[in-house]
This record gives sequence, structure tokens and C-alpha cells, in this order.
Amino acid sequence: MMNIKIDNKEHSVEEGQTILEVCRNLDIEIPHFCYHPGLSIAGNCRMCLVEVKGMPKLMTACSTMVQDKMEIFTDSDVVKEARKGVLEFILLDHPVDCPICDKSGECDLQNYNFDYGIDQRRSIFPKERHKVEKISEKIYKNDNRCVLCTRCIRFLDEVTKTHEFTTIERGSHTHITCVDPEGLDQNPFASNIADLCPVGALGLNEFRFKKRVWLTEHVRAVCPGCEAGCNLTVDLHTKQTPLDPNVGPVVRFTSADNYSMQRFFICDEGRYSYSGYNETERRLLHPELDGEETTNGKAKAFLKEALSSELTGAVVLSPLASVEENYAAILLAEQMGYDLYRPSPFRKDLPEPALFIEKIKAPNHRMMKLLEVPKVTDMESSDYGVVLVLNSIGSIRDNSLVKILSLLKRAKYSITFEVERSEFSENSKLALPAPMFLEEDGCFINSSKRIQRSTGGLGYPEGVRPLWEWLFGNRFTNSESLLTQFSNEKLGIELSYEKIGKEGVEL
Amino acid sequence: MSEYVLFKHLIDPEVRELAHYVKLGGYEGLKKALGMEPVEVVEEVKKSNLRGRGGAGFPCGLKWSFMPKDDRQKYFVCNADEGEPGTFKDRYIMSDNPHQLIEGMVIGGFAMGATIGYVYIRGEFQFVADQLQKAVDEAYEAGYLGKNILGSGFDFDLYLHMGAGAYICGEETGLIQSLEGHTGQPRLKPPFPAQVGVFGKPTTVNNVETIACVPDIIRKGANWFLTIGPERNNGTKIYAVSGHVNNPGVFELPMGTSLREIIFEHAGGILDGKKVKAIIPGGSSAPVLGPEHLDVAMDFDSLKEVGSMLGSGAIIVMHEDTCIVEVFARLAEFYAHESCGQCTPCREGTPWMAKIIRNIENGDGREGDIELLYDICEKIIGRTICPL
Repeated sequence: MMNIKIDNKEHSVEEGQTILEVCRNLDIEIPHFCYHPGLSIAGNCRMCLVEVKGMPKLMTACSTMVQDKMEIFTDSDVVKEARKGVLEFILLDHPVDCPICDKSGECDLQNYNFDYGIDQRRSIFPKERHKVEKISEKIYKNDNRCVLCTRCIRFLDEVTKTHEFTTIERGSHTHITCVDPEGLDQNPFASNIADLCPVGALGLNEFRFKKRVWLTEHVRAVCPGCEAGCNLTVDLHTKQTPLDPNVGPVVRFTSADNYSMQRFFICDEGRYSYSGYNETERRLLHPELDGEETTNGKAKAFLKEALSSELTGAVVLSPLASVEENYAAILLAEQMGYDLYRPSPFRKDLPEPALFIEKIKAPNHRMMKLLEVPKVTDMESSDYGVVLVLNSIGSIRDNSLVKILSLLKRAKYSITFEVERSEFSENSKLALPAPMFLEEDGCFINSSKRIQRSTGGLGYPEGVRPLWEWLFGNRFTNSESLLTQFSNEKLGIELSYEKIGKEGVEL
Repeated sequence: MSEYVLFKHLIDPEVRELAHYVKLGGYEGLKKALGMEPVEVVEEVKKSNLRGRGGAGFPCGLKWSFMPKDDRQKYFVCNADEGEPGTFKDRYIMSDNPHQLIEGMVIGGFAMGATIGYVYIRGEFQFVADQLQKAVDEAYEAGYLGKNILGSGFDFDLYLHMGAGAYICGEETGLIQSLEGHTGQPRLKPPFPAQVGVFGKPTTVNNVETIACVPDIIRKGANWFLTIGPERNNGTKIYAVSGHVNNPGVFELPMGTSLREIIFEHAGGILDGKKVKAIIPGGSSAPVLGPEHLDVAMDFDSLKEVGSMLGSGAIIVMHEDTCIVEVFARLAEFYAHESCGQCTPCREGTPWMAKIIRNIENGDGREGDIELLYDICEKIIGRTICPL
């Protein structure tokens, strides 16, 4: 630990960090364009200049390591003046077309110029104009807005190592160009450059002119696409304006930084999976008894009858469902003496480059492995009187699917907890409507045994209730109480949503 | 005239040939150096007060001593980009007295434990590069380069690398980037090249003139070098004089020769007997001096005292008919054109300045332009990646 002073306030900080990292952890804003935690240091934007006592020049906070007894000024007149200068330079050729820019509202340049910048243009010279270019199926480029921070180049050079971008020409003619548009189309991570772009120079064709970002609500979620457990910022369509096209409730997925995992990007497959949550055609929103819509009361009566039948029972968990939902099913099995099973998750070959993408295409498979739940395909007999199956269609392998179907068909009381009408719901006596991803708070355990929380920003649709409410009525008041009980009894530690926080806890 | 340290071709016009060079004591310094400990060689150079001739005037021996003493591969790079406007001195060393540079490279390599040397030559200097390559081939044949030099067990290979004509590649980290095959754009410091240089290995970059001073320093000893020029600014200096003089050219003179002597005695005085209006003393990056500064001694410290710098020693003389605004417009356009485009202040600020000055020159200046220019300067200086 070392003692440093920032803006005349003393702080004790760990060694080996840059000024910018220290300030970020202390919630002191250092404006920056080129710095990104997931990329190498470029130091080219000069926006993060700070004053360090004893240094003749201003220092770039992104590249200067803190030293013991260092005195840093992030808000002095010289620093303010330097920021103003950099912003003025950047805006010399910037169109300031915020009203038609999709980055508007989450644009670093816009925010910094409001906070630190200029309000009057001193240059009398015309701005250079460039055409907007659709550089790949997914991405467009608008050179007019580019600040040449080279984040996109560094991402493609350092992270995916596919090198589709480079700068060409020199001086004020410098611009970024795509030398391999086909490569960019095939790059499974290409769309990250739109998130990375601190301004509106790179964007997704799909999001272009679609939604003003300030008319969305952001929630943090865990991507359900595979075991990797990447963090998502989910933009929800909350405020409708007459100008908005009538899109579904989920506007887009972008990546959310996770410093504990050192992960700042998501794959395109995960990113574009958001549209699946806007399809409601097959959605199950009411309980169905023998394929016919029924009332909650009748569904509950059937459930009660099944549980008091004293027949043998089996519960099939789901790698798609959250820790809390699975735990509710486990509690039922323990209480009733039912057998517990898990389906085998679906696997998919990895793309090139794969980086952190996992083969297992379900977010909570690791929970089943941790609890050593036996595979449903290893089951010896399949004659059970009561069978409860959790929503897992789409994430399990065919042999598990066949096995579960035969279980359902043979049972006297077959119950499924399903988001959509599926082969499971069609082959069971009672189908209960389950909340989908983004409708319910829940935790997931990823492949590196990190438990992370996904927020249910949409809330339960009318008629849809969580599994624990169907099974245990008022015994649990919220999903967090299930998590706490689960962590106490199964993991031997005490967890809460607060403890898990934004970035999760490693188990 | 004292003596020629670098311009030995003025003593013997054929010195570019190995046999003639050896006759003048060539490669004696190398023989002597190979008999010393590497540290002793560095110490000798330190003692001589040899300062970098490329522009910054950093003590050469001190720079050499920054090289780590571990067994990583190390590189010794000669900066022969000579891109500063007004500078045309290094090319004559390379074309007319190339062996002295080669000898200096080998000695430097030995002193720092570098076994590979590069000469990064300005792309426009094809003729110069050909001359130097001939000399390198001769030196290889005679055993002054290659494996086991003069039976000492020390290996040193020297490669020539042609630049592609960018001003910024004269900046040492920009040069290293370019040498590695990247776009010539300066790197962030730290790490300094002595830690992370060419291909990530410890590297020292010196100017041609600096390196060419080394053989004689070793051969005749640091004390001999200290007898030339004023204290802390020892040695001879090649002054490249251009502009409104009767006899423009390069002159090797003791460091600290006055500007007046250089212009009026060596460069033949001002064209048509006109008056001096302005002088750029050290390449176009150096602040301009007026006629009141004619008696300044042309060395690092004296020029710093009057608010300018020796830089590369390129003297550009302008007489009374010169339009200074036009000069500045031209220079500003040069710097805007040569900005590498990496960091914001220089990339955006220099073209803006060039446009404003051109407007003034065209008679379209506006009130407040001068203040604006000053303000832009302040927002560029010291806030960029490289010091240029």
C-alpha cells in the first residue's frame, strides 16, 4: 500500500496501478477516450491529462503509474484548460450531429463536452466531410465523428487477433479503414467495436435510427447463451414515443464490464439473441390442463392432488433456470422424497476465435455439477407417478429430451414449468407458465464457478408466477430468500444479492 | 581551422575507401576499444562530454550507460533520418566518410553489448545508402564487421534500413516503430528504448554525427576531445548553412563558434550584401533568432540561454526582404503535413494553425488571430506523446 494525495485528499492505494485506475476505484472521474480496461494503453487522445506535483508536464493518467507520496491534481485550472483544449481540437472537424447520432445519450464526447468542454467554436474553417460507410453486414462507420482513439483497432489486433482495421494516411488525414470486410463479417466478436467506440463513429446497422438511448432503461443481466456467464447491459423499451417504431420490450444487449472476471466484451451470438425475447407467439401465459387453458385455482388443485398422491416422484432440474428456481425444485424433491435428475446440456463447436465462449450452451449447468445431480439419461427405471420438469427446451441434448418425454408420458401426474408451448408442455397433464429470462431476478453459476446475479427488469407478466410460489405458497417472500437458504445449506456460506453485487462471487 | 574530426574527406578525398581511411588512423579506435572493458569505453565517452548531435543534446555516454547489463539481445540503432528542415550534415558523413560511422557503430555496440546494429536512413537518400553499403561490404570483408571482429570474440552485424520519408521517424521511438515495420508513430515513454526498444529489446538510438565522433574519442582519448569547444559542449560540430548566404554548405567547426563567424566567414555573408532579418539556428523546430543574436556562440548551452536551441545545427539565414509570415505559413504547413496523426493536439492543432497563418499571409487575417495562435500553441506544447 502507498499513500498518495488526489486533489489534496489523502488516499491509501495499492501499488502497480495507473492514476486512472486508482481514480476509477475512488469514483473520481478522469475523462478519457482511448483508454479501455480490456485493451492496451495507447495514450493518444490526451484527454486524461492530470497534473502531478514535481512533473514539468501534464501526465496521461492512463499510462502513469502511481508512486508513493505522489500528489495528483485532477481538477486544477491547468488540467481543466488542457481538457478544454483537447475537446476543442476534437470538435474542429466533428459534425456535432448529436440529434441524429445513435450514440447520443451515451457518448463520451457529448458528456465530456458538457462537463469540461467549449461552448463556442473559434475556428472559421469548414469541416471536412466523409461519407457514412456500411463496412459489414453488422457495422457502419462514420468517419466524421471518429476521434481516432484506436480502441476498435486495438480490440481487433489484441483481443480477437483478426486485424480487420487499421489507420491509413497521416496527420489530419488519418482515418480508420477496414481492410478485411469479410473477416469482420465472420468475426464472432465484431460487434463489440460499436460498444467500444466512445463516440458515434462505429455503430450497429441493426440499432441505427431505432431508439434513443435515454428512452430505455438499463438492467444488468447474465447472458444465458452459454456457460461463460458474460455480463450484459440490457436496454429495455420502457418509454414509448410517437416516433418509436413499435419494437418489443428488449431493445438490445450490450456488454457490461466485469473487472473481477476481467471481461469487457460479449460475443455477437449473445448480443443478437435479444430479439428472441421479443417473440411472444408461443408464449405460455396461463396454466394449461390437458392442453386446455385453465384457472390458477384448478392448476393448484391438480398440483395438490399430485403431491398428496403418495406416488413415487422425479424432479428434472434445468441448466437454463436460475439457482433459485432449481433450488425450489430441489426443496420439493427433498421434502417429498422424490428423485432428482438433470438433463445433459446442449454442446456446440466453438467458433474461431472462441476466446471465452463455452461449448455448453446453458448458463447454469455448473450448479448441477456442483450438487452432483445424476443425469436423467443414467436413470434406471422411468416409472414415476409424479414428474416435475423445469423449462429446459432448447438447451439440452436429444437423448435427454427423449428420456424426459418418456418420463412425462408414463407419469400419472406430469407437470412442466415452461416459458413457451413445447414438446414438454404438450406431453404433460399440467403446464405451468414460467417467467422467462429478464422477468425474474436470479443467479447463475458459470463455468469458472462464479455465482452472478441477473436482474429481472421486465417483471412477471400477468398470470406468471415463480415456481417457489406455485410449490410453497407464501413460504418464501422473494427469490433472494431462496438464494440465502441455498447458499447456507448447499454451499456452506452466506450469500445475499448485496454480497454477490454487480460482479458476482467466486465459489 | 582547427582540425577535422568528422569531415576527413577534406583531408583525403578518397577516405570513403577503407585503405585511405585506415591510413588516417581509421579502425585504430576500434582496436583500442576491443582491448578495453566495455564499461571503460562507456566511461571514456562519458568523460568526453559528447552530447547528442541529433537535436536534444543529451549526453551520449550517459545514454549508453542506461543500457541494462543482462544477456538479452540488444540493439544499437543509428538515426540517419535527417528529416529536420534545413539539416543536411549526416549525409556527407555517410557518403564521404562512411567508415567512421561504421567504426563508431561497432565501438558503441561493443560498449553496450549490442551485437546487431541498424542504420535507419532517410528514404530519399538512395545515393548515400549505396555509398554506405559499399563501405559496410568492405568492412565485412576486412573483418571489422561480422563474427569475431579482429579476433576479439565480439560479433557485430550492421544492417541498413531505408525509411519511407516521414519526418516523425526521426523521433527515436517513431523510428523504432518504423524499423519494426509498423506505421511510424512515436511510442509512449516510459518504457524508454533502453528497456523496451527494437523488437521489445534494449536499444540505444544515436545520431550519425554523434556516433561518428566516437572513434576519435577512443583513439585519441577523451581529454583530447575536451580541448575542442567550450566546457560541457565539447567537440566539433557540423553546421549546415542554407538560405540567403553567398556560400551555403556544411562546415565542420569547433563547437561554440559564433553565428557571425559561421555566416560571414564561412558561408560568405548575406546575399547581395543585404541585412540579416532572422536566423533559425538549429533546424526548423528551433525558435528564431534576430540579428541582435549574431554573436551568440553556437553550442547547446549558449543557445538555450537566448531562448533557442542548437538542435541539429542547421542554420537557416533570412535576409531583410524575407516575408516572415510566409516563412511561418510554409513551416506550419510542413508540420501539419508531417504530423503522424496519432495524438489529438498535434493532429488537429497543427493544420488549424497552418490555415490561420496562411489566411494572414493571404491578407485575410482577423483580429485575435495572433492570440488564438498563441493559445493553440499552448494547448499543443507538452501535451503530446512525442516532444516534436
